[in-house]
This record gives sequence, C-alpha cells and structure tokens, in this order.
Amino acid sequence: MTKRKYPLAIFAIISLAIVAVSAIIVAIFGINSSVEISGGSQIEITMSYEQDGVHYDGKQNTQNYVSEINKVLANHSASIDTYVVEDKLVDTYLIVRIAQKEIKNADSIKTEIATALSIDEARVSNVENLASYFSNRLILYIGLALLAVIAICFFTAWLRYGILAGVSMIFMVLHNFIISLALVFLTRIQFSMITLCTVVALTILSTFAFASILERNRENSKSSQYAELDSNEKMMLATKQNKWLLVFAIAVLAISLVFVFTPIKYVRLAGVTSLIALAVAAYSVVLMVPAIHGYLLEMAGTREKKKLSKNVEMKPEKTKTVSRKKKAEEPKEEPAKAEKIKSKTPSKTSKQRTAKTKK
Amino acid sequence: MKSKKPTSSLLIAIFTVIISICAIFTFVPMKFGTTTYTGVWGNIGISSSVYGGLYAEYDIVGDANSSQVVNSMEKIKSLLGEQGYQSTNVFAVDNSKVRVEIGYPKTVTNSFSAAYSALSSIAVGSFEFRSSSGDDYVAVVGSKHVKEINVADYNGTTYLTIEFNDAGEEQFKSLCAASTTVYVYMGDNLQTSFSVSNLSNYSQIQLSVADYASAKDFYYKAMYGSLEIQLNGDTMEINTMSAPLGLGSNEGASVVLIELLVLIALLIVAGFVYMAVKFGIASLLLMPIMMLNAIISCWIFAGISMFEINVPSLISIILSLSIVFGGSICYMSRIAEEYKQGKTIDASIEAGTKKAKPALLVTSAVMIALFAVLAIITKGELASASLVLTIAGALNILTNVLLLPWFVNIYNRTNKEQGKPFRFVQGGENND
Repeated sequence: MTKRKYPLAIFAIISLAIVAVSAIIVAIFGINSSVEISGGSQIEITMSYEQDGVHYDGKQNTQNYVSEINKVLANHSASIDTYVVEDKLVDTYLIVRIAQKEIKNADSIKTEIATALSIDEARVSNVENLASYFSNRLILYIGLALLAVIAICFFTAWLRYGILAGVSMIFMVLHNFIISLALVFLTRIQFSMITLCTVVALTILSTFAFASILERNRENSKSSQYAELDSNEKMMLATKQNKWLLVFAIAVLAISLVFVFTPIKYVRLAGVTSLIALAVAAYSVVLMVPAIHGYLLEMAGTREKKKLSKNVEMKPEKTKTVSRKKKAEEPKEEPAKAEKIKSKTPSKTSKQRTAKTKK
Repeated sequence: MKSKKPTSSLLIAIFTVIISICAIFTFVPMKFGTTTYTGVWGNIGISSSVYGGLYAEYDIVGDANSSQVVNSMEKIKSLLGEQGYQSTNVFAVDNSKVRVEIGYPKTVTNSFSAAYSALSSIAVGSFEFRSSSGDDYVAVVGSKHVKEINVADYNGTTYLTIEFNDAGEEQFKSLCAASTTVYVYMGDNLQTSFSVSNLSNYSQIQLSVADYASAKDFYYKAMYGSLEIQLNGDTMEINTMSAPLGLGSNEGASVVLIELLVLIALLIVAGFVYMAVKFGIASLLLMPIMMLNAIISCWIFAGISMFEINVPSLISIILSLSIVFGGSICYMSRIAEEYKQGKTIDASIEAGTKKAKPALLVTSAVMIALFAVLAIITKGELASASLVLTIAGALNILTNVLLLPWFVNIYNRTNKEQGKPFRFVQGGENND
C-alpha cells in the first residue's frame, strides 16, 4: 500500500475550516450581495440643466458626480453598486444604486449630495427602496439544476468508471461548489449573478479535468505495464500524465489575472471569483479527489482481499467435518496412525539390504 | 516510401477557401444596392448591461404585497427571457413602481422598435374573457382563473390553448351560460371575440390564430395580463439608458466590449503560438478549424433567440476557447507521447488518436450534458453562459475528435519527413 503524501485528514480539516469560518462571517456580517440578488436602494439625480437658455444633458459630469456621491455615501457606510444614465423625455438622469437596503441617516443624504454636487436639492430624489426579482423560486430552480448536474456526473462516472468513481465525482462537484462559495463569502467578494456563473462554470470544468484523469487511469489499469502499481499509485500516475491540464489551468489563470486588472467592476469581479474557483479546482482535482478516489479503491481492494483470504482457509465441507469430527473424537489416534504407517513402509536401507542379498 | 497524394492537400485547401467565404458572409457587413446585409453576427442580441438599451417604469395599480410583486417581477423576467432578453433587470421601486431594463435584440435596424414593443406589451392590462362588451358581464380573469397558456401548430394551423384552474372552469361555465359569445379584453381594450356554443369541456379553450407570430404576440400579452399585480399602461414611461457597467455611457460600454474582444483575439493568438511552439504544423492545421468553430458559433447564437451577449456569456466564450485549445493540446500530446516511445509517426498518430478519442469524447459529452441541463433549467445570465459552454463541448468534439485528427492524417500522408513538422522528439525529454 502506497503511503499518501498528504493524509486525507489534512484535506478534510482545511475544507471544514474554510466552511466553518465562512459560516461564522456570514452569520455575523451577512452576505455581501449585489442589488440584482438582494435588492437595495436607489437615488435619482437630474443631470440636465439650462444655462443661458440652452439645454445641456450634463453627461460630461457623470464621473465627477459618481465620485462625489460615493464620498457622501461612505459617511453613511454605503457605496455605489451600479449606476446608469437614462433619458426621460428632454431630461437626463443619473440613477445610482446601492446594495444596502437600509442606509444610516438616509434623510440627510439628499441634502448632502446636493451640497457635494453644488446643485439644487430639488434635483436629487429621496432614497427609494429597490426590491429584486430574485425569489425563492429562482433559488429552487438553481438548486434543481445543480442536483441534475450532480446526478448526471454520478451516473456518467458510474457507467464508465465504476460506482466509486461516481461517488468521487459527486464529492468533487459538491466540494468545489461549496468551498468556492464559502471563500467568496469569507473574502466578502460581492455575490452576484456573475460570481455565481463563474463558480458554476469552473466547478463543471473541474469535472472535465477529473474525467480526463479517470479516463487515463482506466486506460492504465488495462495496460500490463502498470499491473504492479496499486490504486493510489495509478491515480497519481494518471494525474501526472495529464500535463495538458496544467496548460489549461495556466491559461485560465492568465485570463483571470487580466480580468482582475480591468477597470470594469463586473469583469474584475469575474476575474477574482475565477481565481478563487481555479485554486479550489486545482486543490480538488490534483490533490484531494484523486487521494479520496485512491483511498476508496484501496478500501474496496482490501475488502475484496479479506473476502478471498477467508475463502482460502475454508476447506470443502466433508473433509472439514471429517477432520473436525476425528479431531474432536480421536485427537490422540493420529500419532499412533503415523507410527503404524511408518512401520508398514519398508525403509530404504532395508530395501537396499534385500536387493544386495538377492544379488 | 510515401506516395504523394495531392488530392488530400487539395481537400484541405478547398476546405480553407470555403471556410473563408463563409467567414466573410458571417462577419463582414455588405451592401447590395439599397439592401444592407449586416452579417450573421449582426443578428446576435446584446444585453443592456453591455451596450445600454431601453427601460420602462410602470405604476402598480392598487395594493400589492411584496410576495405578489416579487412573483410578478420574476414572471416578467422569465417572459422577456423567452423573447430573447436574457439579461433583463427588473426592480420594484418603493413597492409602487416596477422598472424593467432590457437591451436590443439585435444590432440591426428596427431592434429599437422590437425592444419598445416588448416593453409596451408588459402593461397591456388585465387579460379577461367577458360575457358582454357592456358594463354588466361575467368575467374569467387571467390572474385568478388561468392556469396555463400554450401555443402549438397542428397540421399547418396555429392554436392557442388556454387552460383554466378549478375556479376558472366554474367561472367559464357561468360565462358560457350567460352568453354564447366570449369577448377577449386586455385592460379595457377589446381584442377579439368568439362563439362558444356546444362546448363540452370547460377546463380549457382552444383558439385558432392566423399565424404563429400573432399567436406568440397574443400569448405574451395574455401572460403579462395574468400577472399577480396590475401595471398601469397609461402612465408607462419608456426611454433609453446607458449600460450599467459603471461607465455611464454607451461609448464607455463599447470600450468594454472592445476590451473583451481584444482579449479573445489575444487568447486565440496565444493558443496558436503555443501550438506552433509545441506541435509545429498542427497550429496551421488548427486555424481553418477554429475559423469554422467561430462561424458555427455565430450561426447558433444568431439562431437561438434566448442567447444574448452579456458579460457572463463573453467570459464563457473566453473559457470555451481555452477548452477547445486544451482539447487540441491533449490530442497532440498523446501522439507526441507515443512517438517518444519509439514508434513511427504513422503508428504514433494511429495509437495516439485511438487513445485520445475516448477521453475527449467522454469529457466533452459530460460537459455538454451538464451545461445543457443548466441552460434549459436556469434562466438569464446563467442560461446564456451555459449555452455557450454547451456549444464549446460540441465544438471540442468536432475539432479534436473529427477534424484535427483528419487533417493531421491527411498532412502526414503527404509529408515525407517523420516527426519534424510536428516537432515531435523520439526518446529522451520531449519539448515539455
């Protein structure tokens, strides 16, 4: 049996610790989610203005307005999540959305924003509450979709590689998804549809990677070249032989790093999330899951060996019964029998003596 | 000694020419007289999150609790998704107004009017069947009595089937007892009427419609008219808006789109450079195949109404490129491995292809199954992203199981040098 480089207990402790810390942070601070997921608040500012009888849309002030509003909101422990510029008949408006539903001292925000932007207070609306479409039914749909994904993973892996591979595959999908989300909540990265899409995409791509390793393992198991290797060694070999996965991971890493350094918030968010999901996938696919799969195969192999070794000791029933009976009834007779047999069989020397005398 | 087979090389050359012509029609806008042809990719929808779009605000009529508002918003998003507006933003403002933001369904002209029309039909008013066109009537109300509405084609005729719930069935029975003519209303506007004599089944009604487009239009209006909340169409406002990417302008959003497209181009170039360094001529063989993939993808995206270019789908396109290149690297690596063991190039290609194909098939099939399930069950951005990755799985099979092995075989048969064009090394360390 190959000694594993890292005991499974270490992996279990790491994963459980991440989930535990994440759960504590969510319990204390809640989830940092975007407006589209949990709703929030909205403020409308009229950007267009009249000067010397000429109507201006004021769009050139957008970045300046956003910057000043952010400073005001910071005093109320809030910040802008997204903003849009919209036209309404002849006027232009800046709609600012904040992820928090309740803002401290919301009544005074209107005045403070008007002062910061040097505009009339009438051009700034009150803080309005925003409810999102994200309902329990949608969460149910996403949950059902993930269950379907897990079922497909299990049955495909079972049909192709055996039930233990199916179990390993389920474990990997659940592990990657839960740990990736836990790290997102732990690091207070904003949870939005883009975050969810990135986590789901990279979780499923990790099944693609693990399936490549299982396929290689299956091929190696059929080959006589690797017959002497145990299940753990075969899994480790199959992982090493899939070097192209490293190239793929490096490509995803490079793309994620480029995303992280773009000035666009949504793209940056996708980049950070994909870095986290990639790290979890690499940890899972390279270290943890092959070790678990190898361990499961070992356990199955050990069980099989024990079954076989018990069978070797078992003698055919008649002989057993006879020998047991005889052993139970006449244990002392055996030495006597042996002596008898000995005396019946002529010794070599006496035979030789007989042959010699005949000559 | 290998015999030259010029027909094989000619096949690759013809393939490349055909692909190039298809690429021109797919990507290059052209003008024929007074008709402008924008190319297939001009028919791909772009979400409001990338390029801005239209928004509409509707006042909620009467009192509505937050659960009714959220359910109605979810229904609006779902129906707009069916119409091709996947990245819709729907909010309730102070529980008194509903705000809907959508992108343009295509980049061609009249996409503005298509989007405007989609938003207008949301506040069409309550969908009702009435027993009379006057003030005194028995009504079957969509929001209370309608269970399901379906559109189907049977033998060249389009039918709209409206199924009632238990209460609706009773109400419809009462309506039919009160009048033999049923009047269809959306809000207070009479749409049509039909006769209901000799009905045996009151649980549903089937209406024949002139064509599928009209049936679908009626279907969406009826669905919006059956929401749990009522929206006031008279005070509705529809206007243009910028992309909510944090740039505050469509010009800024165009910069985002260009940045992501440049990233896609750089990734393609990096992929080809890596293939050229590792596997030599294989990168050239891969080029027409990748062009074919781009053409097929464009045709599929333009053909499927549920697809929209948004940030998650653009990111999925980038991941898809990695998957297809990864598959090519996997395939060529297997051949290189066989050649390294001392086999001839012919034997290496045969053995490598035989070993790589099952792995690529199984892994791609799993990917297709998983992402297809997500694309079907989920909605919005997750559905768009899943659709892209489903297509990536299929293209992985097309590229690395069918076309690339075929091209590699063709090239090998016409090439006399052993592993050199593919930069394979026999024995010792390969170019790892």
